[in-house]
Amino acid sequence: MYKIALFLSCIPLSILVEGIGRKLYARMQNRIGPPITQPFYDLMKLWKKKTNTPAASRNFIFVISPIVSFIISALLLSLIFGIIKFQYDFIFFIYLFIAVDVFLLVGALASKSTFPFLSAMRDFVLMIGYELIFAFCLLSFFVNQNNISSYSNNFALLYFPVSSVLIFLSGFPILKITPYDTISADTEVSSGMETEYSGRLLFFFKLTEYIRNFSFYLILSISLIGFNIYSIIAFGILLILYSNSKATTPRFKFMKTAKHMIVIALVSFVNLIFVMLKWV
Amino acid sequence: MHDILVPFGPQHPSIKEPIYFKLYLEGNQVKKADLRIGYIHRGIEKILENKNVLTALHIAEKTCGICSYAHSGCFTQAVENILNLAIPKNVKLIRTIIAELERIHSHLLWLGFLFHEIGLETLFMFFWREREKVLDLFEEITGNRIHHSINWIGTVKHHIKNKRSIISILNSIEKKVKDYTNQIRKNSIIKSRFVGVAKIPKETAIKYSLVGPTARASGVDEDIRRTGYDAYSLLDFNIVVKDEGDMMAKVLVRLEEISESSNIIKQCLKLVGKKIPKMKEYYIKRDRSIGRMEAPRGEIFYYVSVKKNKVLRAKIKTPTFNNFHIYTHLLKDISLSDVPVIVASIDPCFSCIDRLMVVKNNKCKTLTKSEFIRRYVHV
Repeated sequence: MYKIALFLSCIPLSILVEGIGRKLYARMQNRIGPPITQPFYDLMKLWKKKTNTPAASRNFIFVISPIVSFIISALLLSLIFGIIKFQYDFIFFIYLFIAVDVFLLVGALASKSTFPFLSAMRDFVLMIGYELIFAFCLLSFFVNQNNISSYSNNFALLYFPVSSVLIFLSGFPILKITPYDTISADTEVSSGMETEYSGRLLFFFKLTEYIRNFSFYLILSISLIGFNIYSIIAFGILLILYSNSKATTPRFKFMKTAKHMIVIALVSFVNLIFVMLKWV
Repeated sequence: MHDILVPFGPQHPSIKEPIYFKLYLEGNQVKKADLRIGYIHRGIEKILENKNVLTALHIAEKTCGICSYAHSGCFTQAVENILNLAIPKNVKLIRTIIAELERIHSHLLWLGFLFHEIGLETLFMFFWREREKVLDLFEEITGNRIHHSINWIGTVKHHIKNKRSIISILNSIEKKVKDYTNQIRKNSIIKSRFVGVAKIPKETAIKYSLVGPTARASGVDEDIRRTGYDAYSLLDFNIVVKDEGDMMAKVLVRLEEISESSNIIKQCLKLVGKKIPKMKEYYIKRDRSIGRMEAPRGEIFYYVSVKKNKVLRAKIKTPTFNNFHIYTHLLKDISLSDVPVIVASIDPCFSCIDRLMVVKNNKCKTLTKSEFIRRYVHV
């Protein structure tokens, strides 16, 4: 019962974490920043707004994609808390994690608009890099585990330092944080994949992003530290580190980002082989 | 990847004023670009016609929000040339102080926008925070942050009261700008985004008649302040010129110009007194003249023709009008990621450039600088 309560509380918690991230970012720029509850107000405002859909985008896939992404992102949390549990469910977690992004990408392509198309193409190319890095590194942490909710590698950060660094690097394009946030570079591709979304569809889009980001922070802190009280501290440290990078680094060009992601993906694959050989 | 047409503007997060770029993309590469202006044409030259000279001065300043003093100063210069007025030294010094403060605020604004284009919002915030100090200084001196309305024919409306606060604020801005310059020079990502991007060789800059810091970053050593208008003939200052011609050179030229402007203002503050002539009205029967100034973006030019104290015709040529033609040269065979940087590279002020042009008999001819001088400049 407490797992269901924890799972349900994670949805507003993910929105709060987004607010805390924005506040940290503002404080690093020596600004006051919005209140930490600002994303709640933003989502409430979006829920109340009329959903304006361009004529070219009026199709079933455009409408259903953010809703399906939201459902899948909620499933991610249920896997972490063991509400859905089976052997090797961390592989299913990786599939779901990628599927969240894929459905958003499909929705952007279905909008038949230039900037979402460009952003989706960039995401598609970079996904080959960062999702592989995430998958390989996560597999290296879980190589001797049964499932996520019974993860027992405490302080794996010390035993898998290479995987820890690489999975941290994969967080930049996943969370859309500079220097690897070319997918959502608003000065290049306007609002990116969410350009044609408005009203309630944009509500689901944004909420999916918040839950996905929260799931990433959660799985990362659990993988590095384990299912204990120190993972909360790790969660906070990760939030600070990513906010710091967002505040202090400019953006790489798209091709450079793609090259970096491919190189890091190759390194993470080699690292996974070493880890598996060590355990087998 | 197939070819796509990207409509960059007239509304786009990276473009602060409306302009339309039609980008032809192959994958992530921009193959060529067409551009269209005219979205912000307000008919300023038509509005100025038949206005009393003092009313026209007030309106001319509103042409631009960033280089508002340059417009007002240039118009005033043209009218004072018509009247052949001897401008007192204090008036010249105060005008120079305001012009240089405007140069500082304009460069800080541009630097902030440029770093916003490459995703470094923090430097955007930091540069604009320094700019706020300059705007507060404007408010202290003239009563307004943006449209200062300090000029009057033959004099200025306010004198400089608190010299110490101006000097201390300039010192704090200089210190911060020096810090930021060191960070910009060291940061490898900034260097990868700026070095070699939007490169304009000197010959191309001369061919396209570029002006201002954009031209000086390409090695073209031209500055209207050398003609000695206002108090510039009394002052000792350097013109910052770089040879590389790329984005990094443009950034460094503007950063160093902030220091030079600060130096100019400090020299003016040492020389300026409190005595300024009273405001009076003049009558112009019929005459015409020109005004030229070095605005933050380059040469600004006013032709003013007056009849019975009313403006018969005012022609305005702003620096962005010279510079924006370089876009068609720069937006070729580049990555889409470089487009916002290139658009920002000339420090564009699109609200200034929109003028109505009548093309007779649908004929259009492009002249190089030497052809123009040969045909139209009578020495």
